[in-house]
Amino acid sequence: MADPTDGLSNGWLSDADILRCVEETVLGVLLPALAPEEAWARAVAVQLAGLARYAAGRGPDQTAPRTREIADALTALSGNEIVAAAWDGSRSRLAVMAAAGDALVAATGRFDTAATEVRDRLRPVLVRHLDDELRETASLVDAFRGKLDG
Amino acid sequence: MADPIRDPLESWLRERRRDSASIVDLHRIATGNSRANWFVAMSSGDRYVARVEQGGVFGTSSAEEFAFQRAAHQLGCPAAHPRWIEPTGAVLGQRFFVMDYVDGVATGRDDRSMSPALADDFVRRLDELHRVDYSAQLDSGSSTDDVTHRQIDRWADVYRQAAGARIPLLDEAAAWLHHYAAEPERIGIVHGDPGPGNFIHDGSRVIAFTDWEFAHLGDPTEDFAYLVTMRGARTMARDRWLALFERVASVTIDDTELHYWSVFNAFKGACANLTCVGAFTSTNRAPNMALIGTALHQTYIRQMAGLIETGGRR
Repeated sequence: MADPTDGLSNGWLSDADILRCVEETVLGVLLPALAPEEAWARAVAVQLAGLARYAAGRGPDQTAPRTREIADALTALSGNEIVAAAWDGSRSRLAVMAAAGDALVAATGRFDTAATEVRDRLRPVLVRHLDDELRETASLVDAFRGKLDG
Repeated sequence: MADPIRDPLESWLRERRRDSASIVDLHRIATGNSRANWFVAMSSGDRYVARVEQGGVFGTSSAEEFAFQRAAHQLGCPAAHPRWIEPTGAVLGQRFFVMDYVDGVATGRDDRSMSPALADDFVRRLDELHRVDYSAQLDSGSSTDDVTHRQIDRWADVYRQAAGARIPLLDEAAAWLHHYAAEPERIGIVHGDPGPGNFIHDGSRVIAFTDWEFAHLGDPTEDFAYLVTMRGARTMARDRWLALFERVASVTIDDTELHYWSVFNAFKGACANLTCVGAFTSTNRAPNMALIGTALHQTYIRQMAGLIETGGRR
């Protein structure tokens, strides 16, 4: 469908632009105005700037596609005795995450084929999702430690 | 920012102190995320720290923290004297307690350095805390065969109450910790968050351990592993820490123990940090709550998952 605005949105400010404004104002105007002995206020300012930077740059919420991918991994393991006992096939977020958790718990301390399969085929999906999330949130760790406070 | 708490805190302190002294200085001290620490100077010259909860952050309570800090203080361990507790939240909107202010040096947020003499004294005093007879002050209710399992269940409960949906890697970690838990040689007072940034010193000696909110009865190895792999990881290398424990406290920790307690501490951190999301979306919209509840929580899960992967089969 053609964009009727021709890419021009008079007067509309995106959330990302507003958040970048927050970051730049906090770091460029407010933080330099805080005295060195105002340690708590300075720490909070850096953290707020980091949070604004993260919010401006992050992608869309991945909860739904990740839940589907975990459900697909469980489906692929439906013949596995551990997964069969842990999952009734419901694809709701609550059911899928509970099933994945129960499957990993049941596999703990076991080294038979079923347990190894759960660790080799389900667990890596969960770890990859975590790594993807961490790639976006890593800058928040820097902000927490005050690293934006140059 | 101080004004909303000044009047109610002053009235409450006057009742506790049974005098009419007023607050002449009140400002927030820039340490601590689970509690807001306020420096309080009275017209009488007395100085306190008011340690105020922040909306259930970390799933820890002022009542428990107060009890452990008081026990440590009474038993001669380095801890500021905790004076009074307000356990209802009715006075400041959050539960809090008040302790004596302790003069000394507290290292900055990101400073993990310790002089050799200070590191020696730190380990010595921590070991004393672990070995002190607490039976007159604290009711254990635990035995060596269940004390670690209780701690695992405690943190799993904290995570499950804070999470919307289950987090499978945390479930796996709890199961792994239960499966591989070893019975400790003894139960002691475990600080739970020891190391640089959480104690006050004079340059060579410990004056007071601070931040007692994670204190509990348990296996002291938890504290030593925490020093090596977490709060003290940038202070000195792992082998130097382990040699220091052996030289100063006659404590030896093998690779299996260090690995187990590293998983435990990452699990504990992941569970505790998750509570900050709930605080951020309800009673405490400070940016540190968002940062801890997301990035730091995830970082701990990643550490924990990696450690389980490398040490799962033994």
